[in-house]
Amino acid sequence: MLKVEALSKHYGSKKVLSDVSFQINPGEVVGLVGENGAGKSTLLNILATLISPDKGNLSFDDHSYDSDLQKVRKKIGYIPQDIAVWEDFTVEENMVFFEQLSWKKKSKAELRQLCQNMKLEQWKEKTQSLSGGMKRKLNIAISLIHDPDILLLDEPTVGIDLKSRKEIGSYLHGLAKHEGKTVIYTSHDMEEILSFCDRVYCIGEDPFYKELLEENGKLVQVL
Amino acid sequence: MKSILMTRWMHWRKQWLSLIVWLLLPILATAVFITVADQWQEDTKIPIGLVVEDDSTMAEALVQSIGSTSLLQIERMDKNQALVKLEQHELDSVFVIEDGYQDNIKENNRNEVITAYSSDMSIAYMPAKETVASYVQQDAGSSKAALTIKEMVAEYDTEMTWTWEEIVETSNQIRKEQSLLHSSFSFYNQKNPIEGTKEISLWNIWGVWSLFAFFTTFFIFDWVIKEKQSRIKVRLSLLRFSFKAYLLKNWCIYLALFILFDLINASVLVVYFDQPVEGSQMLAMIGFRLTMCMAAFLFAQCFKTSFYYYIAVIPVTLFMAIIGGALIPIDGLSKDWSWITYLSPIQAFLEGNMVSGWMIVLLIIFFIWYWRKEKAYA
Repeated sequence: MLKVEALSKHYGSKKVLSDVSFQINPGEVVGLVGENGAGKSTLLNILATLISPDKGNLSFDDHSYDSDLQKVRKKIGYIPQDIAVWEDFTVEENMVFFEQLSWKKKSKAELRQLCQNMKLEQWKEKTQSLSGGMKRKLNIAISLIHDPDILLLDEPTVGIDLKSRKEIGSYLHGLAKHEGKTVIYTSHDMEEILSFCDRVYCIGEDPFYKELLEENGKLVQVL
Repeated sequence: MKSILMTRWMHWRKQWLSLIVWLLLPILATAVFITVADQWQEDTKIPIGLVVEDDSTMAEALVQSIGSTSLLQIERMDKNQALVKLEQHELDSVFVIEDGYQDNIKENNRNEVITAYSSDMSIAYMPAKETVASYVQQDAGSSKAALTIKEMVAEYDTEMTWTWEEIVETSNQIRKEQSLLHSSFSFYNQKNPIEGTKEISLWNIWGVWSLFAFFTTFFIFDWVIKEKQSRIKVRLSLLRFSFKAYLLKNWCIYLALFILFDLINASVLVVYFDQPVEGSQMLAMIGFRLTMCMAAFLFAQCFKTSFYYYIAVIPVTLFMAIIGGALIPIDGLSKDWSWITYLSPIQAFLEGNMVSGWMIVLLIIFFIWYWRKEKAYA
């Protein structure tokens, strides 16, 4: 279980997150929505241990972010908004490269199976020649190499076709429901949020997203 | 470490050609530079005209001596022709060995034995004149010695019957055998001087090599910027080890690769340029390499884009090479400001020192960089 208590973050004089608290259970798919600059990516980066909060306590499965950082990191799979892969490598080389540096060792067959699970079949193809959707899938697959318990996705489906978006959404939903992984992701796509998320956290003071989602029967909490 | 080596190897496989070229560039560039520079030096000998109006053996020997000077290119011709060529600036200067040269020298009359002509474009007149004068002085010295010996023979009434020619010839013979005017030539880092019979390059070969080695090290270390600023950094930050540990391990691999290629470079210098290499010099090379790798790594940390890094590397390299004495001697500068020798790690390398002030300072900064807390949980 992910627990966040009284989390705050400033950038200079600008308060981005103020006294945010929530908890997310295993198997839940939670969406983070809000206008640009509201603090979605900042919250995700703090949860991913990439930046530290000004104050607040965070823990995952009773491991504190402050005292058990390495144990927490082992359980985190972070998928950045930008496609973070080596463009001059093939899909196979990218998977092998990050497997070498990963927390968990996997065989090539297992890595290939991981890609196939995501409907990414171009194993020997150079990444730079893949479509946007396939690159997004590879971006996610790399983050899943070490079998993380919590997946943090920063707009994972931005700029890709509807088919790939559906495939990615279904796969992530399946990971949560069948393997008990916690999935948190930010998106501006309300249809995606409505389809795949169990709960939604709305960041920022703009009531637009809250009202829109509640109209569609979604459980929304403002952070 | 094995996994880092494996991942680095995956990168190198993609760029092996450029990597090999960069790694071999110091030795290739040094070879080309020295060869071209020496060839240019050959082509830029000072052209002087020699007019020989005296048909004595001493005058002929003087012509031979002047002709053997490596920096002068002799054209022997008659006076009118030589003066026309001088006016047309085809010759830097003209020297006339006047009629009665040997007789004048024999009579210890050193005045006006040679007449020199120069023009307003004779930029090398002074060194050429000094060179010719030194050979005349040598003849005059031998002749003076012969006269003195003959006077002594007469004064002490001995039975020796040496002629002036015999004394001069013996004197010249002794001078050659004893190498009274022999001088050896060596650079900072050369324990064994170059012997006079060998072709001498005016360039310090290790100095030129160190300039190119400095330059290529910095260029190869652009990987730090590429990986630090790339989108991949986010992913690399969440791996088994911290991003700093990832960079540090890669730095170690690059250091080992550089040292391997330095050994190849040194072997080529030994074979191709006949450079003596001693154990202490190899240690100095390793120290120099360690210093350069730390400098390039830390320097790259200061940049966000490779372009500005490349722009900055060029003047830094040239500055270090110049104040390090890699291209031109800095004896004049270091005589007045001795601290200037500490400004460049190249100087320590050329002097054959393994440990330099730069190395110690960079090691300290390197440790501070590694142990300083990042602005994240890491």
